[in-house]
Amino acid sequence: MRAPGWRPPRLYRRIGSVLGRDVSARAGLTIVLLLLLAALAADLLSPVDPLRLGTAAEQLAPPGAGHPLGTDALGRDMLARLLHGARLSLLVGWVAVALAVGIGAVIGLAAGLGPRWLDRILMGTTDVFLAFPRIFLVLLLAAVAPPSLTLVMAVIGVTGWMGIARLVRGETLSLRERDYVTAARGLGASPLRVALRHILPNVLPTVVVAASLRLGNTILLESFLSFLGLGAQEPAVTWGAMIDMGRGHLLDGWWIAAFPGLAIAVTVVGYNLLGDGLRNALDPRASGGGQS
Amino acid sequence: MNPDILLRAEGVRVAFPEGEVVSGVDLSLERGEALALVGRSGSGKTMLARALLGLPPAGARMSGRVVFLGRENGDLPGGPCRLPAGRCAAMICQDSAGSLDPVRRVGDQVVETLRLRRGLGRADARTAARALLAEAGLPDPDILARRYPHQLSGGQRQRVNIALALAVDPALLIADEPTTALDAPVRDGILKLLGEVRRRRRMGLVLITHDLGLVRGNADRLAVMSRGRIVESGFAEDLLAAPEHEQTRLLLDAAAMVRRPFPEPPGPPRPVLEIRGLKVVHRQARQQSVTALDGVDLEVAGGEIVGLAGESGCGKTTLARAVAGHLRCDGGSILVGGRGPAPAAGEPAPAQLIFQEPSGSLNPRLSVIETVAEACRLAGAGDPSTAARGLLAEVGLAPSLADRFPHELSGGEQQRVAVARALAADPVLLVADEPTSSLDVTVQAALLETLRDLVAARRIGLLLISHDSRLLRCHCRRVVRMRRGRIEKAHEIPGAAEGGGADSSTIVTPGEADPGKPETH
Repeated sequence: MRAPGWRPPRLYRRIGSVLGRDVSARAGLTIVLLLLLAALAADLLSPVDPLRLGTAAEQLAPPGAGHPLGTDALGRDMLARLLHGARLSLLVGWVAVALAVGIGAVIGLAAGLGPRWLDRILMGTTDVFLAFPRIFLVLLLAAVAPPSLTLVMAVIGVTGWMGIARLVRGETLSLRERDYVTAARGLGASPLRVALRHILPNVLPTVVVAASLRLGNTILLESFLSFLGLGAQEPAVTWGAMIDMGRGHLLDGWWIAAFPGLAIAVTVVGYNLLGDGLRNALDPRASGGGQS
Repeated sequence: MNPDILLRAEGVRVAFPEGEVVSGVDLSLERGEALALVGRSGSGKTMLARALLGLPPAGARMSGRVVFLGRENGDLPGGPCRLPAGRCAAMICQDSAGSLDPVRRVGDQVVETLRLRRGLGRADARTAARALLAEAGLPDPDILARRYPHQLSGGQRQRVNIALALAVDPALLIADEPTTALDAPVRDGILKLLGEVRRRRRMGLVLITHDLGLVRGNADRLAVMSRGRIVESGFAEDLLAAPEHEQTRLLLDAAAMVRRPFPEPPGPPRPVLEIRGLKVVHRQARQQSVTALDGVDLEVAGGEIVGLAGESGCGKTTLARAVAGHLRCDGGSILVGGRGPAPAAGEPAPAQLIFQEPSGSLNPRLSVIETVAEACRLAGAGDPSTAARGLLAEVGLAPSLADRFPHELSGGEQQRVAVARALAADPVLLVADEPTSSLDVTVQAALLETLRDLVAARRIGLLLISHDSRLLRCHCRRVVRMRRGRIEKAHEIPGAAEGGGADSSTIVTPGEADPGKPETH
C-alpha cells in the first residue's frame, strides 16, 4: 500500500524539541547512542581480540595497566568482551522486542477491529499467556530446544507480546469510534485499509513508548537466561553469559561479574529514560509547558 | 467616588510567553448592573474574566489595576473569590457538568458550600440550600437535591451551578458562556433567571458570550472584544441599534442570521432520501435494550435542506448514522438515492456524514490533500490528487492549505476539509450532525453559506441536525422535530419558498417559546 507522507515531519520535530528540552530524556538518548556506537565500533575500540586466551599469569588479573577492566578466569580481556558483548545483548533486545511488538500489534488490531467473538478468543488467549509466569514459559520453551541465541530471542519475543496486544487493542477500541474512522468506512474503505492507514499510525506512538521501556527489560531477561546457561553458548559473548562466568569468582575476581552487570544497569536506565522522554514527546497530554 | 462602583479595571494586561492575550482593558461595573462581554473565541474574554477575578491561568503574567469593592486585587490574597460571603465574586462556566462533583449529590454540594463559606450549621444549611435551589428555578428542590449531576439535564445542572454561586451571596457574578451548550428554550430560561437574581440581589453580572443575539434584554451595557482589546463599548441598546466597529457589525450579522431566499430547484423534486417506519434498537449488555428510533418517516429531496431538531438523546445522531449506513436497522427501510445506505468495498455510501467535532473528524497523521485524495481514490477517481484539489477549491479552501495537517488548521477549515472528503464520494445526500456547534458565530455563518451553495450547485440533499432552532429556521426549508425516537412534528418554514420572512420572531416553533417552563429530564 502506498502511504505518502505517512507521518508528519512535525512529529519528528516535536520529538526533537522535547528530547532537547528534557534533560533526563537527553541523557537516555546519549546513553543509548553511546552503547550503539560501542557495539558497532567494538573491533576498533577494543584493545585485543575478545576470544584470545591469556597466559596463566594473565588469568584473573584485576583491572589495571594492560587490561583496564581486568581479565576473566581464562585470561580474556574484559573490556574487549564487554564491547563485543554489547553487540549481541543489544541485538537480542531489538529483535525480541520487534517480535513481541509485531505479534502484539497484529493480535491487538485484530481483537480491536474484528467481530466480538474474535476479540473474546484473542483476549482469552492473551489472558492465558499472562496467567502463566513468564519465566516458566521461557524455561519450558528453552527446555524443548537446544540452547542458542536465536532461541532466546524467539522465546523472549513469543512470551512478551501480551502487554503490547492489550495496549493496542485498548487504543484501537477507542480510535475506531473516532469520526475519521467512521468517515473512512462510509467511503467504502476495507477493514484492512482502516487498520493500516487510520488506526495503526495513531497507535504507533503509544507502542513505540511501550517498546522502548520494554527493551531494558528484555536485556535483563536475556542476561537471566544466559546466566542459567540457556542463552548464548561459547564462544558467543553476551553480558549475561559474562555474569554467569563471574558467578564462580565473586570473591577472587569481582570485576568479572561487576562490569557486565553495570553495563546492563546503564543500558536499562538509558532505555527507560529514553522511553519516558518519548512518552512526553508523543503524548501531548503528558507534556508540560503550560496551557496555550 | 461613586459608592455603587463594584469593580473597576484599568489597563489590565494578560500575557503568555507566546504573546499577549489581553492588551490593556479598562472597564467598570456598578452594583446591580449587567455587562455583556462579547467577542469571537480567542478574543480574550475568558482571560479578562479570570484576570478580573485574580485567577490568571498558570504561566500567564498579569498587570494593571483591578479594584473590587474599593480594594486592589493585589491586596487580596487569592483574589475576590476568597473574600467573605456577601462581599465576594463567583463564576459560572460553560461546562455545567465539569463544575460539579460527579460522585456527590447536588444538594450536598450546595450544603457543603454554605457550611464552609457561610459557617451555617447542618440543619440551617439544608434549609438554605433548599431555598437556593428553589431560587435557581429548580422544580421540586427536595427531589432534585438528592440526584447526582449525571441524573440532571444540562439546564438543570447549570441551575445547580447558579445555586452554588448564590450560596456565597456574591456581589459580582461572572457567567462565562453559561448557555452555549444548551438548547434555545433552556438557554432563554437560564438568562432570564440570571437577570432576576441580579435585580433582586443588586448583584453585578458579567455575561461572557460569543453570541451578540443573547445580549438584547439581558445586559445593560455591552463591551465588544477583539484581539485582547475592547473595541467598542456602551449601552447595549444603543450599540445593537447603531454598531460602529466592524467587529460589532460582524457579530451582529452572524447573530441575526439573515434569511436568504432559496432558489426554487428546477423540475419536479427528486427524492434522495426516503425513510419508512425506521426502527433502531441499541442492544446493551445484560439483555437491556433501548429503542433509539421508533417508526421514523422522513423524506429529503435533491437541492433541499431539511432541519432536524430535538433535545440531546432524542435519536438525532442515531438517525444520522443509520442514514449514512453505519447502523443495522431493526425495522422499516432507508433508501438513499434509490439504494440501500450501507457502503461496500469500493463503493462509498450514498449519504456522507459531516461531524460535530472538526478536530476529531480528520486523521491527525494525514495532511489535507492526503485525506481528500484517499477519499477520491476510494470513490474510484482516476487521478485522486487532481480530483482532491478540485474539491478543496469547491469548498473554498486555499490551495496553500493542501499540505497542512489538521492541527495546523482552524476549526472552520477543518470542517471544510471534512466537507470536501464527503463530496469526494459524490453523495446524493449530506448528513451534517451539529456541524457548526463548536465554531465561532462568524465562521458558522460562512460554513453554512458554503453548504447551501453546494446543495444548490450539486442538487444534493442536506439533512442538517442542530439543537439551535434559530439556525435551522434560518437555513432550512423544512424543520422536523424529534422526541424520544419519534418525529414529533414536521413543519414548513413560512416564507421559505418565497424567500421572505425576515422577522424571525414570527416563525418560532410552537411549544418551545416558553422559557419559564422548567425543562423536563
